[in-house]
Amino acid sequence: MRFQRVGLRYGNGPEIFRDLNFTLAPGSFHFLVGPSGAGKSSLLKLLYLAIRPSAGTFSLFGRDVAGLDREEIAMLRRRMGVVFQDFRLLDHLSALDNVALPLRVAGAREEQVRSHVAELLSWVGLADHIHAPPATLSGGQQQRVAIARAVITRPSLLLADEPTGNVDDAIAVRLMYLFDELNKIGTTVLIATHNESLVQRFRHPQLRIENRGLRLTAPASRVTA
Amino acid sequence: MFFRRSDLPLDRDPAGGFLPWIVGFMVYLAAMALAGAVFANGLIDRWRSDLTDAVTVQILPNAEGETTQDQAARVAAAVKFLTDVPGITSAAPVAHEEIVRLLEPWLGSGNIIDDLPLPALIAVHLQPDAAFNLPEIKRRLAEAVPGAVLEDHKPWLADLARLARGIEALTLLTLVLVAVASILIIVFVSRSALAQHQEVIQVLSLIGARDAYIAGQLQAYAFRLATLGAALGVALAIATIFAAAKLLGEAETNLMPELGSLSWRWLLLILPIPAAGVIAVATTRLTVLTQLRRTA
Repeated sequence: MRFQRVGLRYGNGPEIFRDLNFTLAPGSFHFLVGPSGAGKSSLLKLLYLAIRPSAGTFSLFGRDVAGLDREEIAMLRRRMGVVFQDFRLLDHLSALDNVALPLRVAGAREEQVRSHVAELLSWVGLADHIHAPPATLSGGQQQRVAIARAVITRPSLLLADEPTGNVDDAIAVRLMYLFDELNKIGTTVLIATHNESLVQRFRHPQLRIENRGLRLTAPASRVTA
Repeated sequence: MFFRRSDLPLDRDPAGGFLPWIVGFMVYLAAMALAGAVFANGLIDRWRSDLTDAVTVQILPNAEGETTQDQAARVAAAVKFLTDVPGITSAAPVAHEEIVRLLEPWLGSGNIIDDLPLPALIAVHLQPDAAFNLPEIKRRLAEAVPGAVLEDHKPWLADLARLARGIEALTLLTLVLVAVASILIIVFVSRSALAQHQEVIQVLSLIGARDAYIAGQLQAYAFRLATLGAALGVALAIATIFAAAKLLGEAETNLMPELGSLSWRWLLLILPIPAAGVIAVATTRLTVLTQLRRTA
């Protein structure tokens, strides 16, 4: 993933980013930190192709995103897992069906879907809530469903927006280990978080948003900013 | 396609609830138009088969007080003349009772018919595909038998053919209008579903759903509703046709073609069901793909 002089503003609004230059190497793990309103969610939206930069160039998995059509964007998104800050679970589906969505969308066989999803939901502590609709789950449980949905396909890139914001510390640590495990098998991970204790405990490089730019604030073993 | 799992909560759409009913009414209209065309064509075919390879000769009554025997002699002379013409397979006088029966719908069954000077009729059958110079035969017959007029059915057949073509055109127009109206309503329902489920569709898109996947979900939904509506419409149409057939049968008219002999044509009535399915799928796909591209 490579940003070159990327700028972003919404319509005629204020500039969110100016001249962002950074590269995330495959298999790296970064925290994305910064004060509220600094643009963490906007940066993630750029990365999961929900918005386009208003300036500069940005390539993902070696492809310049500027010229991609909807079909190509869909194919790139299948290589990503995204945990949205507001979860974006589908209320009319069960936890199992929510987590199964990325597999079904990609055309996986139904018997594979059910066994993989049930196993993952057990792993995140929701074995007893497989058939529960999201509305009946607590905020923390919904967040775990959202995380399970993001990781079910073992994506090449995992983007998470405050993925531990609604869970207690023990669950947060458990989820971080899940992200670490994914990272060990090759997934590039970028987690936007306010949770300083997690950032300190898991000692991954930090990308800090400051003054409409990015600054690397931890040892840059696999990142150049 | 009927029982496909859906990621979109489409069954809760208020607009979708109306779709089977609207399609049902449309299909009812289409089926009735088709039935009308099949009925009319059957009737026309029957008349045509009665009239093809046949002509009628009228022996007009003589105004100078001709006796029945004199008229019978002219009929016999005309029959002899006709049977001598090569290619005419038969020439048989129509019984007086049959002529009275044919006139009854117009003149009633009272004494009026008995008092009227009626022409005698001769039914003439021609050898199929034989070449005839009917104007020449007509002229020679009129010379040989005074008051004999050969009635050629060709102008009638041409009128019937025009009528058949007219009925077919009207049916086609009705079918096209019904199809266009159905397409418009399906476009409306698809757009409404897209607007209503915008957030869900956005989530599907963000997790990698191609436009065709999203369109597929709406296609399955539209197919289910449209074919259900079409089946209702066809069922209602068949019930109406059988009720009409029964009524016509009870009226003892001989206008009704026999249903049995036209059975393959009545199969056309089932056509609106797959047609509604195909229209629903194609329209929904086109609408959804276009809308998704526009909102990108």
